[in-house]
Amino acid sequence: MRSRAKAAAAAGAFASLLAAALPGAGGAQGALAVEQRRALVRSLPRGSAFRTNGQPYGFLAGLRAVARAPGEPSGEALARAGAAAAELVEEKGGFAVFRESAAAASEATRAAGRAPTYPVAVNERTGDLGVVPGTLVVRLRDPPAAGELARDHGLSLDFHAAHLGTAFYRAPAGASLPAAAARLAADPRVRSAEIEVKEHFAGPL
Amino acid sequence: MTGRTLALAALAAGLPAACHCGSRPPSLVAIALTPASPTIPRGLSRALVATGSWSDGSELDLSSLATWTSADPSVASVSGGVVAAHALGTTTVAAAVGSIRGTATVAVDPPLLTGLSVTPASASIPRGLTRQLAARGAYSDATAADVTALATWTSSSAGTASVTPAGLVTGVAVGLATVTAAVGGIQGTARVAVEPPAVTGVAVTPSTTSVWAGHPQQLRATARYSDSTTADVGAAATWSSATPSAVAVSATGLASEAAGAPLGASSVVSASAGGFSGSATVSVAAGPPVGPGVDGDPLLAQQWHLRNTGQTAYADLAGVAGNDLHLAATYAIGLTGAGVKVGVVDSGLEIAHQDLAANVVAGSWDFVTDADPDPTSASAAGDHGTSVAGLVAAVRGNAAGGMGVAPAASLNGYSVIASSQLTSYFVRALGGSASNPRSSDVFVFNQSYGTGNTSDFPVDPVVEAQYLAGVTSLRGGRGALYVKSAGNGFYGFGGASCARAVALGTSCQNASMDPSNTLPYNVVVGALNASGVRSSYSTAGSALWVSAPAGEFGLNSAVRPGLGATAYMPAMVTTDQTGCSAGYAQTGASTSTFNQGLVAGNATCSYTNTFNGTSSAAPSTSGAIALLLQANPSLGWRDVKHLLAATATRVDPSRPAIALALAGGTYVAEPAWTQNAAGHWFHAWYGFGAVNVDAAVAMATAGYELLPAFRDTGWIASGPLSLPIPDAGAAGATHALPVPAGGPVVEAVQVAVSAAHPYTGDLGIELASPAGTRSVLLNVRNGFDGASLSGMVLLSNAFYGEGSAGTWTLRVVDGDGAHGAGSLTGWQIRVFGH
Repeated sequence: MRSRAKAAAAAGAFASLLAAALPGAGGAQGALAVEQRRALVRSLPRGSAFRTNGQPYGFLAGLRAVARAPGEPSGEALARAGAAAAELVEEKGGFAVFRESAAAASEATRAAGRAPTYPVAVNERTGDLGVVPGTLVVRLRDPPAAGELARDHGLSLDFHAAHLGTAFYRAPAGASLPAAAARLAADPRVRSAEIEVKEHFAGPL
Repeated sequence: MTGRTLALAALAAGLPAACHCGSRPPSLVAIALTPASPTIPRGLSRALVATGSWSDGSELDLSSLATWTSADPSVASVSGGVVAAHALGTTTVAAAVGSIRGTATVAVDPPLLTGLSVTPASASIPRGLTRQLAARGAYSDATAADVTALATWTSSSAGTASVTPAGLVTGVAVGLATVTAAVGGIQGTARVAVEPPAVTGVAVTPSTTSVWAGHPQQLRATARYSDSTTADVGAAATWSSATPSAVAVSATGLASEAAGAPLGASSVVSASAGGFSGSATVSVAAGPPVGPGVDGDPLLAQQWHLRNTGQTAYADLAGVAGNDLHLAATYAIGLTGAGVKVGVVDSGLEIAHQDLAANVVAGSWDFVTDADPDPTSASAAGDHGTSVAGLVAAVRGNAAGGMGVAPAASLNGYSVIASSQLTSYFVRALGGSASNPRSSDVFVFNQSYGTGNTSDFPVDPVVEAQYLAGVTSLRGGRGALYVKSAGNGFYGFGGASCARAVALGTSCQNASMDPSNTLPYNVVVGALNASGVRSSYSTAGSALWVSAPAGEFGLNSAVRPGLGATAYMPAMVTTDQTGCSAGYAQTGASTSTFNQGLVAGNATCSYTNTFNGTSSAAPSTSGAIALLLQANPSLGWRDVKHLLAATATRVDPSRPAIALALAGGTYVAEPAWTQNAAGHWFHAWYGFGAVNVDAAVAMATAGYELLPAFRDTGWIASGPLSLPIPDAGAAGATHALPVPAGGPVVEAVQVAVSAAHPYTGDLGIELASPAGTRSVLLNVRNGFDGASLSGMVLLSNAFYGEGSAGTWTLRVVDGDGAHGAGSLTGWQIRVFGH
């Protein structure tokens, strides 16, 4: 059991449910409105393109995500990431997606001990954002090779679902995920390898 | 006259053959009979020929002159050379002229078959029933005999009426056929008319149940038909109560306590239909304990979902008595959920909570850190999973709080929803892990979560594979149960634009917008309030299976003034984070006095009265399933689904359809309750209706037969299409796909739809089955805002029990003229069933 974070002003799930069912009951948003967010996304330069689960994604320069602790306001999470002044773009599940300044965009400017941040990609079909948590979902031709693959490709094995013929790997910090996925996909022991994107998060109902 | 003729005449007359003519005439020297060894079937005759041979070598037919005799006339007699066969055996037949005689050995054989008739000559057989035909042979000896077993039986149309080698005819499909019986070259026929199936019996369920004040019991009458199908005939049946002074029954089978009926009184309630009747025994009971302090649980009396007496549950307004899970008979036979492990896949679970700890077993996991077996939430703002867990299995009789639906079920908590929600976390939490967490021994997974997307996205194939693995291999191969909340988006979700849906009165969010809800492995649950109708927020959709208690908001106007009445209707009383500095209930809470810790029984703020959402409907159902699995551990996952559906109560039965005027006509945007061709009632707001635990347990324990093996058709695709979807036109775009013969009896139907449209929130999608049942899978004017549907998968349960073979017709309608037209570019269908 961990120590509890400071109580929020209102119970999150209840407040949003009440707001939806009873218009006028409240529910403040700190992030950009949908149209503002989509306009921003359209204006941002794209990085590498890739496909995951049939969806076309492109990395977005200028956006990053930081994980929030349960109940933690996004502002505090951004502060932990050294981005207290950054613009909050969207809260996605347990992540806060923010627009980092040009100065902060360089990893070299990050102080040690700050919370890690993650790349952000856009689904080019829907315009929705996804957090790229650094994991690779690999369907194996040869399930016993899950451990060997990790060693051979310089990855860490997060979990091997042998009954599904699937392994989940994590790339080292700073490694190129598209390159790692491409190398895995070319491995004869691999059926497919995809970059995991968290575009949709389940929320409590 | 020649000399030989004269001699013959003399011989025949018995005179000497001498002749006084001038020359010596030829003399008769022998008589030969032909055939010499005839065989004659009994009852038939045969002429023999007697040929005389003369001394000059000549021959003459003497048949008419000879004297014929039979050595044994009882076997065969002879007259004028014609032999009549009378009995099996042999005899010697002789023909004599004078002293000259010839003989033949006559064998009498069994009689010959000369004709064949089939009885009955015409027969009517209800589909699915059999009728034994008989073949009767007529023989040469004027006898007759049954030749059914000897005959070769054939049908002119085996697809209409099949016939076995023994002459047993089965009605296969409505129509006419000619059945032929043949023995050798002899044939007889019968005309068989196969008629619609006939009722062969009526069963009333639950077969034993209880009612008490304010708590009627909906009985079901199920007709069994000759083709092994069943149908709900409750609405058409004639209901009666043998002892109306004890138990009254309505015209639709609603049994209730008669005014003044004493406790323990009972009546046999019968339903008659199609010449058959079935019955149930209904007793007047006291109902489960509800008073404060009963069983030592001070909050139990306000837990309306367990027994609804019209209490307020610490809110301002009261519910309507009787609208609950119907648990009295289940608890009365001692079911508690013991032995059933429920995995709460949620934000966390306070494993040391005073009302949960005794039921928490090893195997939980904190996915926030992914390093801790304790999933207690670090948030002080209320832990959703702790409240969910209390609804499933809060401890009974411990002088604290209330109790769960299954108060002795085991609990695990997996805090996936508070984590980064990696795909691997879902796999591990949904049964794919034997340690950290130990989810592989979970019987019921409760998933009180969902997505709020405003455009379609595909289900994660790895998670789908885990669900399939779970229903295939967990619980000893009988399959784990996956219970899933439908959503809270009737009026709004995820920033969607819902004004149009609110104005129309339809659900802005559709259950199928969350891809996990489109998998047949999930039991998708909608929410009911304490008045017994849809909770205001509960997301609708054809993917719903059932509905269960979840309540409204439970507020006090003295604490939170100025809101509509719904805000002050009862929510759920359940566990909350311990203490008055954390949780939904804490000092200064802006919701209710109960949540402020100011009500007896909640001085420690460890319980809440404002928990709600389909998040509550799911654990109500998970608890119900735990009780079912304890009642009958052999049930497969689909059997549990079947029991829930077959015994659900059709709530809000008179709710009208919602129609919309579009170009070309009126479009029904949300149908009323619809009875499908298999007799099941369905409504997209409620699924098959409200969970009725007593009825489900009764059915599960009364000789229930498990469903046949699960199978599916695979995806059947249209290929690329380009069908216009007219802007705001009622006709829409339609396209049909065939499911071939031999397809399964439907348990669920998926479609995957691709469409191009400037605003997909305009689109309504519906499906019609071969039997003509119509289901709306996506409402027009919904909360989507994307510009395409990319193989969006939607699921409908509305066709449950129907046959799948035949033509399925998809219709896509644009329900708003604000955004322009579009086109249907392709679709697929996949039917699951048995």
